[in-house]
Amino acid sequence: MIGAATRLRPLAGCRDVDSLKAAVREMCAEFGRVTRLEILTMVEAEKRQAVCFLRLESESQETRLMASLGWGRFGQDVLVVVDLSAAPD
Amino acid sequence: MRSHPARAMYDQLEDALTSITMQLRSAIEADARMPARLNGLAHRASDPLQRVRGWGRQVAAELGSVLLETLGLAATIEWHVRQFQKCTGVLYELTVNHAAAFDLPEDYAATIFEIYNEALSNVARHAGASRVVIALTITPHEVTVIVSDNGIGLRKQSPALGAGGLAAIRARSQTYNGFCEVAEGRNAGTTVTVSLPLPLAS
Repeated sequence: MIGAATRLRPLAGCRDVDSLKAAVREMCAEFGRVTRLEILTMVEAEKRQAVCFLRLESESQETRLMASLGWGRFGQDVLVVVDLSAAPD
Repeated sequence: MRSHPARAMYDQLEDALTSITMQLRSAIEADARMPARLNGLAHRASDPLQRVRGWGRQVAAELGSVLLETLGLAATIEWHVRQFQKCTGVLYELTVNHAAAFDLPEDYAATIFEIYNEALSNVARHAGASRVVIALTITPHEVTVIVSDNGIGLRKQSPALGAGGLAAIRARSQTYNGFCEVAEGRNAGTTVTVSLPLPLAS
């Protein structure tokens, strides 16, 4: 069983929103095309977080992505929160 | 528009439920002395169950958006929290103050509903609460939603649990230049307060 931290490893190494956007699109590519991606950064308890809201072309693609990567949902969007303060491996 | 027609979803739900019923009936009728056969049937039944969960979620989301468009935010929250109480057993108290005689802009209503829904999901999944108090206030200047529970409080919850949802609530509030506070009550419990300024006021 792959843990959440392992699944987010490709994203945790990103240091800015542009590289994170590219990494999210790449990670999602096997499930479908990202049709909408919104990333907001925040500092919470001295941690820099990126909150990513995204949509794929269909609900079924989103369902497969969430099941495979363990990502959640917020309203109509798929949600993933990335800790940008985490040191990359 | 990517939404699934409600009719098709209900048809899919009916098919899936029929399939589950038939497989479970077969399992019950099967020889109890053949556990491997029963296990196989139970395993096959889990796929339709997964699909039903997914479709149920879609139907609820579609229904929620239809209600938001037709009845407005307050009535949708009232409908939703009643279902929440039925499903979870968590008692609710809802207060609505809608002083202004106008409809909220659609995206504001949808965003507040998403925030309320996420806060309520956290109550169900992580708080261990028996009671939740919801207050919705709409003035010409802002819309505010407060979701307060009597659960174990943030400190006793695992940091990972619900953290994504709370971060999303903060981020969504930030998008609308809103105020967001997640606070622990004096006697445990958690209160999420989100207030969004309305465009007319700015």
